[in-house]
Amino acid sequence: MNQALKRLPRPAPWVWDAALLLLAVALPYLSFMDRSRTSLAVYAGIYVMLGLSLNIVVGYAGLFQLGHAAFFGLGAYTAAILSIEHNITILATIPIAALVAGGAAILVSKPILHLRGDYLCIVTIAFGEIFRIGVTNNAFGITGGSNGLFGAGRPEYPLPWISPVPEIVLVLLLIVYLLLTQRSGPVLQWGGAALVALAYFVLPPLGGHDQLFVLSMAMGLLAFVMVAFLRARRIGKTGQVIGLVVVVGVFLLFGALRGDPLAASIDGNVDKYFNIEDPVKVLGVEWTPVAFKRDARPYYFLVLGFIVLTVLGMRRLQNSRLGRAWLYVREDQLAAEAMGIDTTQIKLIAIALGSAWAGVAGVLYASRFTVVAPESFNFLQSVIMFCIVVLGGSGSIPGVLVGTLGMVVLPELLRDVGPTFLYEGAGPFVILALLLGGYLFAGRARGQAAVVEAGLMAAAFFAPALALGEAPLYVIGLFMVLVAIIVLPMLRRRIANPLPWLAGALAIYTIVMLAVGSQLGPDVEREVTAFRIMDWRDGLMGIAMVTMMVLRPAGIIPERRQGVVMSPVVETTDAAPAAAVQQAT
Amino acid sequence: METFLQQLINGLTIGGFYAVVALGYTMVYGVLKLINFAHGDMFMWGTLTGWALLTTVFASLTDMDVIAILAASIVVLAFIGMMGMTIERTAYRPLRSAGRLSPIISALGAAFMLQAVARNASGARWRTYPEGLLAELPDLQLTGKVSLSGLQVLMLVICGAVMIGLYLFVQRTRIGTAMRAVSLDHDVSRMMGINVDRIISLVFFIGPALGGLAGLLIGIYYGSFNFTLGWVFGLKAFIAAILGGIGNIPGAVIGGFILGISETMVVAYGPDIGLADASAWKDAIAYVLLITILIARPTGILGETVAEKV
Repeated sequence: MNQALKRLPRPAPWVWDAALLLLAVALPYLSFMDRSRTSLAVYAGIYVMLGLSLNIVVGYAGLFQLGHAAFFGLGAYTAAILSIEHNITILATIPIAALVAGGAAILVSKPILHLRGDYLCIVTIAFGEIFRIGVTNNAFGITGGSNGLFGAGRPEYPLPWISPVPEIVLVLLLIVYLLLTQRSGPVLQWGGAALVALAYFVLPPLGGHDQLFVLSMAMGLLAFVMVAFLRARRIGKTGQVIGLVVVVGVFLLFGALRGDPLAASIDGNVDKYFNIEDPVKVLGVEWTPVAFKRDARPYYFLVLGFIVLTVLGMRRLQNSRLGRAWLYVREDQLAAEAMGIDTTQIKLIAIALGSAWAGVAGVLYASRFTVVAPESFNFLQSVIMFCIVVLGGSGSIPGVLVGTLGMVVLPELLRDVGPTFLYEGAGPFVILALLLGGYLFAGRARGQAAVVEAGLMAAAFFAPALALGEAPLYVIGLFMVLVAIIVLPMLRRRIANPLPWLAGALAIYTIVMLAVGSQLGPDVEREVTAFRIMDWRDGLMGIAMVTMMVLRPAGIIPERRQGVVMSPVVETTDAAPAAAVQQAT
Repeated sequence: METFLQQLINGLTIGGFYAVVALGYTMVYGVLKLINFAHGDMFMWGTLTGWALLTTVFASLTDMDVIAILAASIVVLAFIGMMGMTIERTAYRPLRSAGRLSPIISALGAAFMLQAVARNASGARWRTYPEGLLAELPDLQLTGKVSLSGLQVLMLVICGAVMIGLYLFVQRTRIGTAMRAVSLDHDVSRMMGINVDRIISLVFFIGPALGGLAGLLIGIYYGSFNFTLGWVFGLKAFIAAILGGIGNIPGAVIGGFILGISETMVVAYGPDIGLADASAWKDAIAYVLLITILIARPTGILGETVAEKV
């Protein structure tokens, strides 16, 4: 089957990116995304940022960091204090928060960087705890003690269609445009710039609405894409002129025809999601800021924007000189040092960068929840971030996304699920299919024997419940299947063919169940309904962590370049899980 | 001077507990180079099991509390020891060749699991041990106002006995020699005919069993506990192990005592040196101490400096 899969044409990597981005943009408009789930998506997005930032430290540079929550907290507290005490609009605190978090990281890490792995790990825990204890005890009298700080501001920014914002954006756009198209020839460079500028000031008056400056900005961005496309396709001068004119023309036409409804919908959306504030004077110019309302959608897109920026940055970083240096240090510090890499410096940069970015995530957190309290930055949070990175696959960006789904989103979604799914509807069958499928594909058992074993388990699972009509017996059945799956590999180590033993055990189980099932059913039902899944959330998470690591020690989506430094043979990527399986069987 | 002596005694008692729990961390680290994050929670399970036994099965024995406690200790030792072996078998052994990151996650997962089971078994509220356990032990009056309660004497004696016993076991017996060999090099030990897996299993029996015993003693000493006890106490005990130089049994003992004494001293003398609410900062002392010592001596007080790779 694997062979057939390999022969299928593989989509280019950017197709995955585009699909994922499209899904992310559409997500808040999907029907199952109610207010609380959108809120959860924002929360998860902040954890994706944290995971990505920690990924620099743990994944790229290979340093243990179990106190990341402290830098997240530093960012959040900095933003909250500046916003509450000094009335600074919260997004403007991002550079300060990043500097504070990154600077603090440099200060505390410098003296301890020479420590070996595990010592470093425990010292980072110590810093995290000192931070938490410090803010709980209201250090310097500015952290609000154990209740934390209330009333951090929501993000505000100037309206993009009221002067002078459009003019500033245009100047920025043109500068970037001219820089990026330096080697594209005069038509693309100057012609494109002139057309963009022209359209920028024709479109809004044409449609009769200042709001259409938003459309002009979109057009400016599209011009970038268009130029890249024209260059990549090596299209001649005439083609280039036509291409640019078409882009601008389409926008002008659209603005002229649909300008009114578009402006009205922009206005409507502004009222829905934003409060328009009183104009403020900055540098002698009047600005009209809009502030986020409580609704989660604007935050969702704010966080999404930051994630996209982060991912793009990480990718560039990964393959940069610095990124390769981290890889060398991670794989073999002595060799890296011998190659002339200043290892201390390199590690310090990783920690500073990761922590600064965690500080940025902290600002987003403070602006979203407006309350900043010590318990949000405790050791458990650090552990969750660490798990996001390692469970997903240390050093891998998609791994961080998957890790966040597992560590943040799934536990929250579990809140809604009642335990009765264990025997109601399709629940038991889905779980059984997952268990047996996992058993067959995990490679612990192979060939016909494994299929027969799975069949036996399934038969024993169905027999009592169907014969007696007591659905709750499925719960016991699932438990038995789980036990069988765990015990079988152990049994196989001692006896060559465990099949008769399994068959015997399952037969006994079936007979016993048939005998006592009708009395047992209601009892099980009572127990299951009394079971509150939230009480066991941490425990389930723990079991999942152990199981995941035992099955896939390198994470769910391992980083591709693992081990590439030391050995030219690529087999190392699979060596770790294979060795682990060998150990276990 | 009298308060100083009194605080020193209190600090020694707490330090004794830290030391015994730290032994478990240090032994496991010695043979596996693994931070056993679940150790603190197994220690808490010792307290929990002891509480469960003394309030139910052995409740009728409270008149003869020495016998009840002895019986409970034996059960706790066996139960927590087996728990340690099971965790090693399921969560650590499959990961022995999988790098350094994965076992940490696995250990944290095991800790979460133990905590969740404990919380659901005992409830989230604080539980109290039966009152008046070992109350008839005579206090030991030293000079003037300085006194050792009978309980403190007993705790110090037990902790001391455990530490000396373990030290002698590791240094003088054949199995102890095998343990030291395994902590140096698994492969060479295997060549010398040592069953490495069995030795590691044994370490995971002794360490948690002693931790569990300390848990039971702490329950008797303080009288109350809840399921978060293991996390905080375990982390501090681990710091004690690092302070002394991890992988080193006398180091763990020294680290434990240093930590216990400095904690008590800072809380007692904090107000005099201008730290008004010293007890609120008590938990931070261990961490500050850890950082200062590691900056000065990167491998702990008794740790040897070894190159990581050649």
